Amino acid sequence: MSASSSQFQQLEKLGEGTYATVYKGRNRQLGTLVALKEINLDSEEGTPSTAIREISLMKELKHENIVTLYDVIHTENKLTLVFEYMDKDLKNYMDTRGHKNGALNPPIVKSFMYQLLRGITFCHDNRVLHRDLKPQNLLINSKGELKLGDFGLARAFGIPVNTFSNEVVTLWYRAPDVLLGSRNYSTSIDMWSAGCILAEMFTGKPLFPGSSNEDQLMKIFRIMGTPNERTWPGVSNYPNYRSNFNVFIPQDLRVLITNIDSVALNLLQGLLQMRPEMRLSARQALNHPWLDEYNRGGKSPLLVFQQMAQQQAQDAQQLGQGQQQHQQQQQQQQQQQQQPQQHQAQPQPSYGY
Amino acid sequence: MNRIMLRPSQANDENVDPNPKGKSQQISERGQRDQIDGLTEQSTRRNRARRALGVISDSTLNSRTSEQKRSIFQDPRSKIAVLKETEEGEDEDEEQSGNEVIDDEDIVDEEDDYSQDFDFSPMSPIMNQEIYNDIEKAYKKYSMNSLDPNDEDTYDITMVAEYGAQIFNYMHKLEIEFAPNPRYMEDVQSELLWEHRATLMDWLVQLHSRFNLLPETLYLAVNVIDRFLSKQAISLSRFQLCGAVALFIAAKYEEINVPTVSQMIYMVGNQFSAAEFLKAERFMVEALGFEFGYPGPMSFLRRGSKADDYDSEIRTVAKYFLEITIMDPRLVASPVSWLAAGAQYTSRKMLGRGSWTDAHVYYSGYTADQLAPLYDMLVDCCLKYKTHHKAIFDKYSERRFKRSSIYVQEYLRTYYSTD
Ligand SMILES: Nc1ncnc2c1ncn2[C@@H]1O[C@H](COP(=O)(O)OP(=O)(O)OP(=O)(O)O)[C@@H](O)[C@H]1O
Ligand SMILES: [Mg+2]
Repeated sequence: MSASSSQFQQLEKLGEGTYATVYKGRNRQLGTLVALKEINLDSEEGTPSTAIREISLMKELKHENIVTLYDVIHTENKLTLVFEYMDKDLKNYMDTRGHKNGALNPPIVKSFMYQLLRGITFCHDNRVLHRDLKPQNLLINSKGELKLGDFGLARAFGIPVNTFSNEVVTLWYRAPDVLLGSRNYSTSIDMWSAGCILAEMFTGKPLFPGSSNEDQLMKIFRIMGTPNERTWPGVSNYPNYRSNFNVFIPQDLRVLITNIDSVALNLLQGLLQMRPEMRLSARQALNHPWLDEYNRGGKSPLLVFQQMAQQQAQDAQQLGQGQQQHQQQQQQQQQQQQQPQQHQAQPQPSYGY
Repeated sequence: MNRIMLRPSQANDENVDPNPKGKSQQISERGQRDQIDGLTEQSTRRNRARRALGVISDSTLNSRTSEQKRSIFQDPRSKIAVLKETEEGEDEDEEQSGNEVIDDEDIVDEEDDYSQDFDFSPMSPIMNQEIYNDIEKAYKKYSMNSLDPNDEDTYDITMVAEYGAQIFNYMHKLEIEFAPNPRYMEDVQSELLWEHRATLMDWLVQLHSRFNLLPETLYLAVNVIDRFLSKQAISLSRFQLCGAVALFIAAKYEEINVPTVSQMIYMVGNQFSAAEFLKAERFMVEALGFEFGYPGPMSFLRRGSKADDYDSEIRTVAKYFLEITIMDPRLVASPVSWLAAGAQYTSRKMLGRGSWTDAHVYYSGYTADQLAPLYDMLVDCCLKYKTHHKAIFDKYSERRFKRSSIYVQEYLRTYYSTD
């Protein structure tokens, strides 16, 4: 780690978070793109613990579904983390590549979910909790690869897992046990977030968009049902539990997520278990039948993107030919007529899943 | 046997600095006066000093300089005075301060109690075919391909049972990767001695207690110090700063609530300015490449305890022995899983809890033959606890630690008839 900031040309801003600003950058020598995450060091308390953890953990976690940290540039008042460049975060991707409402096509949801679970499994296998999984922190590149980013809230855990802060995870993706005040959470904290993200990819909308801790719990109870001692033994012992919570009965998730198939729904239900000990682990989720085509089938999760790119190239070519040789031959007119059909077929292509 | 303890100058006060903000004002004023870049500057000077020492063998150096340094460590108050003097002196005249360390020809070559006491050879677990077979036998007997439905841990989310095997394998890898150079005093340092390290550790244990930090934080801090010193020579006058900063960094990595810089500085008796402290933090963090994934012994100890059904007496006494291991130069780079197992083994033996079973071998990963040398060593350390680990002894004589250290002394009096 010996880069200096002059090695990179700083380009446009990619994102701004609570403690850092991320810029697009270009390696002056190689011409390659990078993401430069700049952390200000003006604090009286020195290097932020978030940065210490993020760098330490990112240096350990080398995996294709985790964004690679190339370098760290440490100057008097700034710490710059040099990451591999990714085109978008999942939030941007849904906004720009999804349907009008932000929803993604099921084959893409499946591919992203598989890659997300692979990344989480790797973290948990290496005793790391991410603790801030949300679409903005999942990065997507042009190949369709999804990688976990932003390890600012992540931490290594021992066995048993120590008591940690419950001020973690962005509200909408925060597990009910954590909202209820638990500090004894472990890997299942990330699995709830993964469930929320799965639902959001199908609908384009966050599943539980709460505005406060209390409102967040209500948004969850309204759909998953209000827990009680019978459905969740011990729930009344949580610090934020109240016996006068509004009582809701569980809703059918299919009403909310109309385009989900029953196998995917089963996985979603496994992830959105209120009781942390009942929630699927990342490895269990990874082995869920919904993802069989990648596991047993050996299919690459990137295939769907290659096919999509091919399709787009073909469409563009056909469109171009059509315009140039507009009045030439009947054959080409036929081709042009086929085009709308292909477009319609696109949302549900038969990739053999 | 009169090793001198360095006490935290303020650590015996009732409370941590009640008004840290007020202090930081003074600190920043001082910070402007001290322009010296502590660690970097010091280390180049030390390297020069080291070259000058060329022909003197390490053992000679040890016994001689330790004699001289002892006077600095004599009393915390006087230490501060000496430190300030030295620093100001160094500011003006480097060579002179360099001489202070090297030019010790006139010191009488006296028998040094500390270095004579210790064989500094690093210790590590032995391995041979017989041991290998024993371990394999225990693994065959206990390892399972699926989670045990009759084991409570399977249902305890904090035990992450599903990931246990994978995580422990990974931690075994990390304990090797994060091991410091076991001979860094001889290889890297020119001014420091193992004796100084023991003094610093004694102080660190107290500082750690005063801030009410997690055991994991103490072990990480020790690893940070040792790995840093494996890379970087520092002067004795900066050693305490290095220790305090290591604890600060470790707390940032491990804790929910981290002491503030002004609290840290206050505990070091305001010897350093905030600017110096933060500069040292930056320097150390960078020297270690921001790598703090050291696994520490606590998870290993807990796993071994499974074979004792988590018996809390065995665990508490084992924690005492485990903490002692940070004092000893021979164990600086030993695998922490081995130290954890050795602490548990010694604890069970002194508490008379029967033999080391296959279950113990399975959960700890070590056989009795591998742990016996640690037992002998720990007994030896406890027989001379006053010079070996006074602060840890005091800590574990408290009721919250079941007065483990006192129990051990009583045991030793019965079986080893000291005095
Ligand atoms: N490697 C990258 N390639 C492209 N864009 C990135 C990359 N890393 C981060 N970004 C963009 O910058 C945004 C902020 O990055 P990141 O989440 O790491 O910062 P943060 O300050 O920790 O954010 P917050 O505190 O809001 O969670 C991301 O949501 C993403 O849009
Ligand atoms: Mg972020």
